[in-house]
Amino acid sequence: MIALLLMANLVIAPLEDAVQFHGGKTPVASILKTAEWQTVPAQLRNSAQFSAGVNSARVVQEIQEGIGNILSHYRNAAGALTDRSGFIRDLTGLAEREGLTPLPEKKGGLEDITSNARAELIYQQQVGQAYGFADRKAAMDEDALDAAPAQELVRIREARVPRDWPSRWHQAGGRFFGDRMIALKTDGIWARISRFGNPWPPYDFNSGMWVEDVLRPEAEALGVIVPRAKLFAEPLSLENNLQMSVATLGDTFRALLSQMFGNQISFTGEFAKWIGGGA
Amino acid sequence: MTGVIVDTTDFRVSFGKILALSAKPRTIVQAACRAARTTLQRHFRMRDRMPNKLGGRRTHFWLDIYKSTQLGEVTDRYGILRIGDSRMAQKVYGGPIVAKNVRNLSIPVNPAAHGMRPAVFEREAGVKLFFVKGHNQGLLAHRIGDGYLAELKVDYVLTPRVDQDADPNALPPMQKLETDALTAAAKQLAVEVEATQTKR
Repeated sequence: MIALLLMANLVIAPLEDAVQFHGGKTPVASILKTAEWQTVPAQLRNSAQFSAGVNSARVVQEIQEGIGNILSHYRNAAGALTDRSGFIRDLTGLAEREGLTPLPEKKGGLEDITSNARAELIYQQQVGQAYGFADRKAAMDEDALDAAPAQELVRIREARVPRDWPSRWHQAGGRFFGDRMIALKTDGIWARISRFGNPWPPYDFNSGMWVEDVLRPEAEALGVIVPRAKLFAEPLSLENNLQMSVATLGDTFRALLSQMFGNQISFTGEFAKWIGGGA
Repeated sequence: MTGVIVDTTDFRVSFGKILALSAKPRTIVQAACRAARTTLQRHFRMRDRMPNKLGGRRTHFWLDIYKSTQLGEVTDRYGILRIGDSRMAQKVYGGPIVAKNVRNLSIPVNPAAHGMRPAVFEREAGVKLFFVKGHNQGLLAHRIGDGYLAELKVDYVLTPRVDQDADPNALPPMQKLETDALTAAAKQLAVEVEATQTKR
């Protein structure tokens, strides 16, 4: 593309970083529930394709492929794109064929992998995390941080029973500017408010919160950043997600990971890495 | 890849003047693109507050578009805004949607079926859909009640092709995007100039 001055193009195309983030995951089948997955270090969790309580390798693989197809705008042999409703049909249908039908009292709920509600949550969570990561990566750029050093936590979707985000923000050490929840993009607050330990949204399951840029003139005027202060980008590398050092975790936790995931995880020296393939 | 060019001659001239005055033009382009991105996102948020035509459960299509609206390549001369959700192309350009994997598209007409493919709706609603021949197209319906009192509830219309008009409000007015981008660029330049003067 050649342009003399500015050619601000708006294009509808896959976001490469979102595709790569998702593509870097290894399908891991496990009966672990959400709370148990929370004990797995964020770096390892981010690189695992899992769904709480789902121990079918085929279903986990379907999630990986279906979301990957959506993010990459993949067209099948007939020329059709995968979309949200097609993904939900394929996932719930496969889960039913795999015999993952729930107890009658759980039917249709979030613990029922054959339900629309659960599949919708998986779609929102997986696509959201990939977009959130890609946006965070683009923001971690010297000029981007110069132009937009801060971001605001905003509600983009109303909830019937909204979580108390101002309290969560306050408890995590966040500052308020009027009633606005704003912080520097490099502030640790973003990972602290996240249920998943990631500095990018979504910050919780089925969350209606997201982030919007606060440009430097406004950030300086509000006192979020001192005039002329320079922020340093924190590199987000997918390479780091492929394996993680478990040297600091201790033998007990290492043994626990082995017990939880069997031959789906391998240890080489001080590093842990997903192998996948089903327990 | 499909795209919409967001620059007019006036915009180019004004933006070019700002860039020429800056020692950090890529930061200016970042500021302009990020301002335009926020304008797009707020437009999509506003669109999401409107109920869908059919009614029924919300799928929050416009919030998916919101989250996928991001910055692409940014240089010291131009920037690219990306919408990563493939469904946006249909909103912006309209055009035919043709059944590809199956013989017919299934278009929900029952609000309860909104956002769901027939197989999912059957499972969720606990109903069995069957084919009914309509006047000039097929229908998918389910039965309510038994015996001679039974009624038919039509859930989907079957058609091999749908022609959709472009949504004229899919994007905010170009004028607003340009104004917001230019304003952000000018403010960023002012910050830069002030910083330079303070150093002296």
